[in-house]
Amino acid sequence: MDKSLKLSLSLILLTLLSCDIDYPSKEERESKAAFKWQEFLDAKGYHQDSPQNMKAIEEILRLDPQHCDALRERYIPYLKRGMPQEWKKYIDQAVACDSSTWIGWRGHHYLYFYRDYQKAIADFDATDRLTPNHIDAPRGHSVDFWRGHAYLGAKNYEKSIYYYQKHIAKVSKEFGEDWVEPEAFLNLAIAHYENNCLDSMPHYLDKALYYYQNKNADSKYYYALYEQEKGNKEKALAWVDQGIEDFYAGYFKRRPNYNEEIKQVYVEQLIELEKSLKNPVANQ
Amino acid sequence: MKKTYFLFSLLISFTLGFFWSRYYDQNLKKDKYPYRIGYIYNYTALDSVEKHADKSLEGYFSSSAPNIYKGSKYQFKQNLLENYRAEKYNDNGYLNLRFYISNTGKVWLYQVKELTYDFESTTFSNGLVEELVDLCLKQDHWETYDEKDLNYYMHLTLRLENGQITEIIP
Repeated sequence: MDKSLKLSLSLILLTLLSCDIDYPSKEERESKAAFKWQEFLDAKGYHQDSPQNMKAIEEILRLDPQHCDALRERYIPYLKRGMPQEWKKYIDQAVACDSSTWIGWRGHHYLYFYRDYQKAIADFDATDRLTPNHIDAPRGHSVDFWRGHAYLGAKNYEKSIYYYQKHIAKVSKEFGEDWVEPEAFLNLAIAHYENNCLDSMPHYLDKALYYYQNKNADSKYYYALYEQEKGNKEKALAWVDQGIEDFYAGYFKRRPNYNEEIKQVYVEQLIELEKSLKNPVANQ
Repeated sequence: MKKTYFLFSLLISFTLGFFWSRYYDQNLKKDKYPYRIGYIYNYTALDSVEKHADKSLEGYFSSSAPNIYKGSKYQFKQNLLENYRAEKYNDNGYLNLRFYISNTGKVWLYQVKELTYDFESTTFSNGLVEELVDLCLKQDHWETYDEKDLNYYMHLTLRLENGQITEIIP
C-alpha cells in the first residue's frame, strides 16, 4: 500500500516536472515583455496587419497585460481597415492604460476616421484636464489645432476660429509664424467664410498662400468664393482658373493613406464654380 | 486500497489531461489570427468566391481609395446623395461596409454592419440597409487601376443622422 502510494506520488511529481511549468514573477514577465516589445519594433519584416504581427503583440500582452504601447499597437490595423467595433474595443483599453498619451489620439481618430466631432472634442478637452498647463500634440499637432478642425466639422465656427487663433498665436510667439501649419490659416479663412465674415478672409488666405508658396488649389477656391460674394466676377474667375491649375499640378489639401481631409476641395467643385461664374443663368 | 485507486485515477486523469491540452494547443486550438486583419469572414457573396479568392488583394493596408472611385469620391458622394431617399428614414448610427472588388470593377463579396454611434450592433429601419448597400456597391462607382488581375479591398462607413447621410468615410 505504502509502496504504491509512494510510486504514485513520485509519478505525479515526475509528470509535473516534465510539464516545465514556469511561474515567473510579475517583474520578470514585464521585463520579458519589454524585451519582446523591442524585438517587435526591430522586426521590420512584420507587416502591420499580418498574423505574425498580431501574434507578437498578443504574446507581449500575455506577459504584461498592461503594456500600454502594445495595447495601442493592437488597434491600428482595425482603424485603417474600417473595422470600428474592434478599433473601439482595443483603443479604449489603450486609453485606460495610459490616458494622458492616448486619449488625444483617440480624439484624432474620432475626428478623421469617424467624423464624430463631439467625441473628438471631448477627448481633446480631456487632454487639457489630464496634463494641465501643457498643450498636448497628438499625432504631431497641437490639440488646439485639432480642436479648430473638430469645431469646423461640427459647424461651430466661432469656436473653430478661437482655437485656430489660439494655436497660431502660441506657435508664432514661441517659434515664429513660419512654424504654423499653412492649413491653420486656410481653415481659419474657411471658418470665416462659413461664418459669413467675408472681410476677415483675405488676411488668412494671403497668409496661407504665402506659406504654401502660392501653390494651393484650396486657398484659391476660397479666394474665388470670396470674390464671387463681393461681386468681382473677373477676379473670381482668375482665382478659380489658377486653382484648377494647382489642383492638376498636385497642390491641394489631402491626407496620406487616404482619408478625406476636413473640408477637402475636389477639382469638380472648382470646375462647377468656374461654370457658374462663366454662365450664372444656366447654373441657377 | 481505495486510496491507491484514487491516486492512480488522479495520476491517469492528470497525465491524460496534460497530453490532451498539449494536443489541443498544437492541433485543435482555433487560431485567433489565421489571416490578415481586414479579411472578410461573415460575408454575402455576389459572385463565385472560388473564381476570385486566390487572386492578390490590393489596398489591404487601409483601402483602395481614392484611386478606386470612378472619377472621384466627390462624384461618388454626389451620386449617392442624389439617389438615396433619406426622407424615408430617421435612423442614427453608422452603416459599415467592407467589400472586395474584382478587376472588372464589380463587387463580388461584402459584409455590412449596422452600428450605433458607440459602435454597438443595432438594427436600422426596414429597407435602409438594402437601399444603401445597393447604391454603394453599384458597378459604375468603381474603376480598377492596375492592369493585373487583382482584387481590391475597400470599406465605407456612412454616418447617418435622422436618416440623412452626413459623412462618408474614408
